[in-house]
Amino acid sequence: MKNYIKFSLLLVFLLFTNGVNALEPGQSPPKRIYSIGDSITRAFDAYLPNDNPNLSWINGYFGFWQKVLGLPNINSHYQRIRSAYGRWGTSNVMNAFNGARMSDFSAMAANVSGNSTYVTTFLGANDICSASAMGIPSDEDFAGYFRNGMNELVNRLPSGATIYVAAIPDIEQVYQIGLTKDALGFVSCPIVWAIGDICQSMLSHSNEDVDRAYVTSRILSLNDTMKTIVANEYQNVGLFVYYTDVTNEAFTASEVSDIDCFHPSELGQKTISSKTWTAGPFN
Amino acid sequence: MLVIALASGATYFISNRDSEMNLLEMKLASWRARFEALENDLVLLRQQSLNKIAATTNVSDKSCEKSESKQTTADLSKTVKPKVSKSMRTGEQNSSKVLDDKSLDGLLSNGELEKALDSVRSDLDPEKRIRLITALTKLKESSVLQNSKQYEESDPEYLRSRIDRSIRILEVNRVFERELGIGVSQFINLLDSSEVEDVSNN
Repeated sequence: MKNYIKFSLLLVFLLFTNGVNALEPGQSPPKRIYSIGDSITRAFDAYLPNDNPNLSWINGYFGFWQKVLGLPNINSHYQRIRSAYGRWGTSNVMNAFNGARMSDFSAMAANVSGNSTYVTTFLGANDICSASAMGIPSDEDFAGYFRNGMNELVNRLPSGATIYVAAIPDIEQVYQIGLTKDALGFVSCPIVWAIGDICQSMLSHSNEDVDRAYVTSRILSLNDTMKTIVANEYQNVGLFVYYTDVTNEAFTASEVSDIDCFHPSELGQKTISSKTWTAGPFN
Repeated sequence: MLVIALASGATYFISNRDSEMNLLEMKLASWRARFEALENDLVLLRQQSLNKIAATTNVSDKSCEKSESKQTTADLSKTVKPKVSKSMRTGEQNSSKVLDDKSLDGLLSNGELEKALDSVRSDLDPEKRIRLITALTKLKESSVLQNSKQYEESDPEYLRSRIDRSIRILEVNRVFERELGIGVSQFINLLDSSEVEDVSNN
């Protein structure tokens, strides 16, 4: 009986609080996820060759088969949300495809479910990773694509939903890490990049330092474009819109895939999940 | 008064839930007993399978024949839906505490894993089945071994061990592509297809 009374009082307390992770007034719990992204969000080559949706920084999960087969557990946003807000009423939708660019944002946003409460967008790497630096879109074009996608979300999401925009990663680090792995004699990343035609604007063997520096400057500029637009144009739209640049921070050799020397490994996905969650609105 | 009323209502609700909890606990105990019995059977079957593998099967590239009926991932996912039952999955989630390494090894060598293979491809001959289960065992051993290592970014041996693991994973993937026509990640994704709702055109 005493336990029942204690539990009842706890239940009453919880009824009058917002739970473990406090939300802003009017902000909906992020229980219905809709992720927009590219091969990073699909966790391509993160552990097994090809897509590893269980290792996605946002949609990942750790279920029966992952336990049976000893696969990694990266504690994604989806897992954190279920832990913090409960499993009831959650949904886990991914609209990410390999090779997606910012010009695809509006079409992907147009498919968002009208009851989604947490939309993440992690695009831009494929705009940078064109066949050459000449293929990188201008700031104006990129801004236009970004606004088109954001406007689709604003028009379709319910009041109280959250949009979380992640910055383009620092791809020049991938180049430096690839050289490190190559120097240690583990795997020849430059050969992998060449054979796979991976991000040649940055990783081409014919690039000089000045070429890579230029591409890095474009990454910074496009990230600044997104950050400015979010801060100036999407703060009073009935939604909760955030931008984070933690995805542009430094990473390590272990956080880069050993399969293709380019995409985040399972450790990389774990780090992305941790950093974006910590920097995000629900921590 | 409001607080007392709410507390009373919660107490009534909780006392009614007690009987439901007792029933659930009985079901859990039944599942645990069932899995413990299955575990003993699977250990025996595992030993038989390993003996057979040692006697007859060579998992190298030279001895394996390329599958003649190679299908795309799209074809497989359209023709055969995963039949990993909800009750099995729910049972596993509820009784995860009894799934220690011994039990999981038992499941991996036979039983539920064979059912999973059948759900994706129902016409596997016994030798192919054994090669696939052996490959998955290799995947698990590599994963568990790597996960047990202390993370040491500055240690070249740690980085080397990660590369070695990736090489083993690529070998496992080759076995799956040869025997099943799809990679190992695609196979697992078919089993887990309800965890993420993929609405992309990837």
